[in-house]
Amino acid sequence: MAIQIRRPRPLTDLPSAVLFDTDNTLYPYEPAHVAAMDATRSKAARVLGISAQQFDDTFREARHQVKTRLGKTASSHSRLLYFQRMLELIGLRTQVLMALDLEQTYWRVFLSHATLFDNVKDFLDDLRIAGTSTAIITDLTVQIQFRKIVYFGLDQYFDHVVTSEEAGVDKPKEEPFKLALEKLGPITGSIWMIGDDPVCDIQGARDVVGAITFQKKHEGVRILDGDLGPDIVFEDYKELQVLLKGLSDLNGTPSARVEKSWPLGLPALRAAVESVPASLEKLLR
Amino acid sequence: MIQRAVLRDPLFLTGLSLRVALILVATPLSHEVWFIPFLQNLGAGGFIDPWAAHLAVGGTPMAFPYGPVMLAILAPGVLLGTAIDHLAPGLGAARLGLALTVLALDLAMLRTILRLAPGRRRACVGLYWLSPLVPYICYWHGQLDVVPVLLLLNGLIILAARRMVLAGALLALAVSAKLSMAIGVPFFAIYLISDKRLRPLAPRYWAAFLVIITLLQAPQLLSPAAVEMVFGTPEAAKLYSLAVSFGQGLEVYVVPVAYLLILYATWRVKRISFELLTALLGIGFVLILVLTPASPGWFMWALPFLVLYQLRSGPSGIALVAAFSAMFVGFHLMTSTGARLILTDFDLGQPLASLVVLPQRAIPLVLSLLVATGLILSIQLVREGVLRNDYFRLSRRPLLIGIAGDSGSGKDTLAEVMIGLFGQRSVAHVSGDDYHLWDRHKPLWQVMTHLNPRANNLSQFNRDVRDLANGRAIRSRHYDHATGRMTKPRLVPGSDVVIASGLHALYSPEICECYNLKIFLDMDEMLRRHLKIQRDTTRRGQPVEKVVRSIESRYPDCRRYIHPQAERADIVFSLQPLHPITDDGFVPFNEKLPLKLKVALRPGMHYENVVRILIALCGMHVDVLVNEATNATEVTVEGEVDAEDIAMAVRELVPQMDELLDFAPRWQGGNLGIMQLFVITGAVDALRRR
Repeated sequence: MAIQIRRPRPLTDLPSAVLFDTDNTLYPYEPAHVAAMDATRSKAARVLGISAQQFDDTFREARHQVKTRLGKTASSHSRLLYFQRMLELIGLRTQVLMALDLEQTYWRVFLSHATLFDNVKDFLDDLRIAGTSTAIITDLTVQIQFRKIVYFGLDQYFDHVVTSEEAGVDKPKEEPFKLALEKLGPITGSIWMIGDDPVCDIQGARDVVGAITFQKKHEGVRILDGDLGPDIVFEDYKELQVLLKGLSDLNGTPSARVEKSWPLGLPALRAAVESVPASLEKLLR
Repeated sequence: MIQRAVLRDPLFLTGLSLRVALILVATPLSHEVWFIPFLQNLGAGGFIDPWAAHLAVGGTPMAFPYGPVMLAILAPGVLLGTAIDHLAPGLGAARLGLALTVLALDLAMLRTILRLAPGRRRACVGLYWLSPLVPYICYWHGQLDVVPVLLLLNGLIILAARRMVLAGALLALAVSAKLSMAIGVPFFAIYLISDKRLRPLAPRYWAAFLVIITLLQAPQLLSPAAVEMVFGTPEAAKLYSLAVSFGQGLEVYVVPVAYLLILYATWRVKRISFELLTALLGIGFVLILVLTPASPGWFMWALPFLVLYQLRSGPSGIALVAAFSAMFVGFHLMTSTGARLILTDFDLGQPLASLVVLPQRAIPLVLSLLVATGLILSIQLVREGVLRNDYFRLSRRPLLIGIAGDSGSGKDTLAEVMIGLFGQRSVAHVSGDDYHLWDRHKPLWQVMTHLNPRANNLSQFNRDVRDLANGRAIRSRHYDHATGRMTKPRLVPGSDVVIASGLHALYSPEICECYNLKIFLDMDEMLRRHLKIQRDTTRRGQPVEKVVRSIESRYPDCRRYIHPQAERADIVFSLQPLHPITDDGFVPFNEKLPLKLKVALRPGMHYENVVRILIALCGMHVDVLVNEATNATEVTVEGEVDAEDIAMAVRELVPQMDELLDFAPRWQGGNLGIMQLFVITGAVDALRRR
C-alpha cells in the first residue's frame, strides 16, 4: 500500500524535528508481548504451580488495580508492580525476588522477540543526513525504555528521549510533548509526529505542538476518520524515505541518497533499473 | 497449517492462481497415460499386488515405478474421482483428484520450506511458490517427486528436533516412496556419526528406519511385477549414462565416482551442523541432476535445497538458479512430454522436438549450457553453502581455549563451567596441575613453588596441547589435590573443544599461537587470599596457617612467572569485591561477598554487542573504559544476572553457537555466567578470523 495523505496539510518543507513514539511504532509490540507473557506464565507455572488460567486472571486483575490506583503515569505500566500485585493476589504476600525474576523474565523474552520495523534505521539515517532533529516521546519508565533503545541499537540515532516517568504523566497530556520541545530547543519549521496510537500520539501531538501527524499502520492499529484522524497514514518506513527524498529534491537540499548520473531521456529505464535492488531486497526479506 | 499471513500474500495468491489455472486447462501426459490408469486399476481389484494387476491388463511397466507409500498417498484422490466419474461421466474427476492431491502436497512442501527458513516468509514464497519450475514439473510434465522429497525434508526437520524414531521413520517412508531418496541416506548416517551429541540417540533412529523400510519394502520383493516396475525401472539406468572410456572397452561411470567423492568430502567435514547437512544434501542432489539425463521430476529433489541456497546467497544465487532452471525447462520442453490442453484440440503432450523441426545443434547446445550452469551452481553451493559456512569454519579444527591464572583464581571452575556448556563428551581438558614434576610430599617443594616453570613439565604440557589441537589422543597423569600425588597416566582422546588450564597455560609464546582464545584469570589480591584460604581449608582440608604461609611464600614467584601471562591473553577476567577488602576488614568465610567482574579485552576484540546485550537484555550495570597504557578495553559488569539471561544473551549474540554446544548446556548465573558469555563470543570471533 502506498502512503495515504488523509488531511491536506502544508507538506512542502523538510521537517525541522521529528517526534517518535516507541512501542508499536518502531517495532511491533504484540508478538513480543505475547512471547514474554508465555514465558512468564510458564515460569509461574513451574515455580508457583499456578495454572495458566489463574495466572491470566490474577495478572489481569493486578494490572487493573495498579492502573486504577496510579492513573495515567509511567509507573502504571510497570510490569514489576503488576507481578508484585499478582503474587499478593495469589496469596503469597510480597515476594520481592520472585517479582523481580518474573519482571526480568518478561523483559528478557520481550526484547529477544522484538524486531524493528523494516527500514526504521534507514529512515532515521535519512533524517540525520537531512539535518532534522529527532526525539522519542514514550510512555513507561525510563529504565526499560532506555534498555529497549540500547537493545535496538537506536541510542546513536535519537537526539533526545522523553519518557512519561520523566514528564510525570503519560501522553496525550501536554507535559511530555512540551518537555520534548524544551529539549529540542527553538524550532523554526514544521514538526512531524510518528506514532501508532490515535489518541496519545496523533491527537496529543496535533493539539499540543501542532505537529503534522503520521500514523504507522499495521495489524491491530486503529485509525480514526475525519478531524480526529492522522494527517498521513503509512505502512512502511520506506514510504517516509521516499517522501523525505521528494521534499529534499523540492527544496534543493542535499538528498540522503547519492544520485547516479543517467543519460537524459531515460527516466523510465532509470526507475526500472533502480527499483531492481529494492525489489530483490524486499523479496529476500 | 500455513500461516494466515502467507495465505493472504499476493505472491502466494499469484502462484496459487497459476497452479489452479494449469490444473483446470491442462492434463499432463504422464498423469493421463501412466499414473491414473495404474491407480484406477487398483480399484478394479489390484489392492493386493497392484503392479501385477497392472501388468496383467497389458499396462506399461513404466506406469508406476513407486512403492506403497506413493500408492497410499495418491490413490484416495484418484479413486474418489473415478467413483465420481462413474456417477457423472465427463467431469474428469479422476484427473482432478490426482492434480488436487499434488496441489495439496505442493502446499505442504511450501509449508516445509517455510519451517526450514523461519523468518523468511516472503522470500520463501517468492523463490519456491513463484518458481516456474514447480508448476512445470508438477502440473505440466506431471511428475510426482514432490512426495518423497516432502517426506525427506520433514524427516530432516524432525531430526533437527531430535525426535529420532519419527525422523528415522520419515526417512524410511521417503525411500519407500521413491528409491532414489536412498541417495540421501549416507548423508544422514555421516551426520549422525559426526555429531558426538547425537551418537547415543542414533540407534533409535536407525531401528525405526530399518523396521519401517523392511515392513514396506519386503512385501514388494515377493512380487515379481513390483520388482520389475519399481526396482527395475529404466530410470535407474540414467545414473550410468555418463561414462568415461577407460580403454580396452572398459568404462568408468562418472555419477557413482562423483557421489562417492561428495560422501568422502562430507565425511571429512568431521562435525556437521544441521545447516551443513542440508547444504551437503543439496550438493549431492544437484550433482546427480547435472551429471545425468535427469527426468524433470528429479529437479524436485534439489529444488528445496536450491531455495535455501538462494536465501543464503542473495541476488547472485537467485540469478544462477534462474539461469539453471531456464536451461532445464528449455531442455525438457524440447525433449520431455508435456500436457494436453483440455477443451481444445491443442496437444502439447509430446516433446517439442517431435512436433517441430529444431535446428540440428539446438538440443546438444542447450544441454551443454545446462551442464555448464549446473556445474557452476555446484561450485557455488560448495563455496557458499559449505566453505563460507560459519559452523564449517568453526568445526574444521578443535576449538582451543587456554586458561591461565594464579592458584585460587578460578581456572578449574571456569574450565568446568565451559565443559558444562560444550558437554563432557565434546571436551578434552588438560590441567596444568597434572604436569607438576613431583608429588606434593617431595622435598623439592621446600625450595621451589609450583609457580616456578621449572617445577612443571611444560614441554610435555605444550606437546600434549599441540597433539590435542591436531585431533590426536594423549596420555596424561592426574594430580590428586586430596592426596597430593599423581595418578597413573590415563587416555585423553582428541575432541571438538580442547581446554588447557593451568598456572602456565599461557607461559610459552609458541603454545599461545595454538590457542584460539587465551584467557587469564586475575583477581583483587585481598579477594584472592580470602577465597584461597576458604577453598584450601574447606575443600582441600589444609590448616589456615599453612595456606597463609603458602600464599606468602608463593607471592614473589606469582609476580615473576604468573602475572606476565596476562599480557598474552585475549581476555583478562578480574574478580573484584564490590567494596574493597582492607587488611583490617575481616570478612567471615561463610558470608557471601558481593563481587563485580572486570573484563579486559585485547585491542581489537569486539565488545560492543556484548555490552549492549548485557545492558538491554540482562539489565546489568556496565562501565566501559579504554586503558590508556595498554589500549585494552576494560568492561566492568555489576548486578544480578541469572542463567536464563546468559542463555538468551548467547542465543542473541551468536545464534550459530547452538550447534557447538551440548543439547542441554549448563548456563551459569552471576559472574561465571558473564565469563561464559565473553568466552563464547570471544571464541566465535577468534574462529571466524582463522
